[in-house]
Amino acid sequence: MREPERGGWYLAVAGFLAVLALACVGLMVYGEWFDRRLVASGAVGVLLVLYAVIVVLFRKAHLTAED
Amino acid sequence: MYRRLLLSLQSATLRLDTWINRVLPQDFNPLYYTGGLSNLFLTILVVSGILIFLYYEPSLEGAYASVEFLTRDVPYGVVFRGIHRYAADAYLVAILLHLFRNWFTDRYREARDSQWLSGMFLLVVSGFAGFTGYLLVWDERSQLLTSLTVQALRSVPLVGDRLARVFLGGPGVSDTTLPRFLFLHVGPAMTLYVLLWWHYVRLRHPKIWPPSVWVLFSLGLLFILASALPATSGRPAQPGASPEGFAVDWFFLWPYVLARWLAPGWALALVVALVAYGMVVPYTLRETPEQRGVRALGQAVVVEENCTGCELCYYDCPYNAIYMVPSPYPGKSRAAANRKLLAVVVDSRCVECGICIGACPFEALELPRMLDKDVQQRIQRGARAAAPVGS
Repeated sequence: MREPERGGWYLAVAGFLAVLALACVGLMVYGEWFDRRLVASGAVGVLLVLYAVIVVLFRKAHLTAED
Repeated sequence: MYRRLLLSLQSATLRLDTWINRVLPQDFNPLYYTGGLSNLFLTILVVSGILIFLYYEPSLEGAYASVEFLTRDVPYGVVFRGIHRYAADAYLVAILLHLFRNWFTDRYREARDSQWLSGMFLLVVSGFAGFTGYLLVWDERSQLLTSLTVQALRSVPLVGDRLARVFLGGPGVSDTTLPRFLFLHVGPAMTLYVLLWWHYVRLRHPKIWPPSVWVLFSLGLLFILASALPATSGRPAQPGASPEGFAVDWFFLWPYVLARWLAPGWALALVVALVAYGMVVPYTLRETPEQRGVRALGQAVVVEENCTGCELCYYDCPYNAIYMVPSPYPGKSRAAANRKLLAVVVDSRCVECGICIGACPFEALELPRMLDKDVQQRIQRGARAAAPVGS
């Protein structure tokens, strides 16, 4: 089901999630630095989930093709 | 009644697929990868289990302390323990989704009964490995579960005492008990890979791994759960004490929840009865060819004059139902005149799907009872099932 007209919207959301992912990287460094390891591992989890959502959004924006 | 229920469940499953495919790209639909997701979670369980195993001490005195050491003092030990814990739950959920999906979409009978049976064994062995994982912590819950299990096993006629002895590694809880529990956890987990071989052996193109999106998402979710809700132990087991309550985990410990109302022996009998029913499910629905409708196409037949031995059907058959043998005589068509191989259909494996007919460019395969009108009917049904809901 092609939805080319919403491609820009998907990319905007993906960009926002990428910024959140960067914040998670910051949290990972913070957690490791200050010995708050549950914060660091939680940030790893959120980062992975964000990456997954970004991959889906890229596909819906037709930036990537089927495997 | 049963047949009508299955048909409505099949329809509901297909509608659910359609709804998910509206939101996600079709090849990301997680319901298409329930088997692959099970395999992913099993891999996570094995890797995290090996890391935990490095710190585990299987003894009455040391087991609880070693788990607490892992949880409190080993960097990220609590995360690995949590991932192991939640991956076990996710694994069982994925297995059950896989089971019900294949049941409801009618992919469990006849040529597919081998996958169903191996799947049932996988479910039972996985459940057992999950249950023995709870015993290894050796806290109050482990002690209570051990006590209930021993009661249930002793209630088995004739061999009850012997079963309890095998379970405990001796006549009662002793220094040999925790090593036995460790064996009963790791041994079945290793057996799972043998069963997986059985599960896959008759499938040519099994989806054994989910798309990368679901690998990332699942791993991420496990990290989040392990961090937000860290796995913890109860109070340490006390020799001679008889604890009464424990936190319920429905996934693996539901027979013990039932044991609140039933005698442990009856709870065990219920588990055995459910497993036995699961094993015979593929053989409960007997249909005449008329009831099967357009599915009664007859097993694929090789039109020997036309077969060129190109092996396309052999590679495309998902059920290993086609073998290539040395051709005893040349084919009649010009393309088949110099063939070296000939396709042979193994009737017991053919599910009459027609994939080989699509694969063959030489019209060398046919479904004997498939008429043109049946093909049209099948295409129309497929198109209706794939159409968005409401269209």
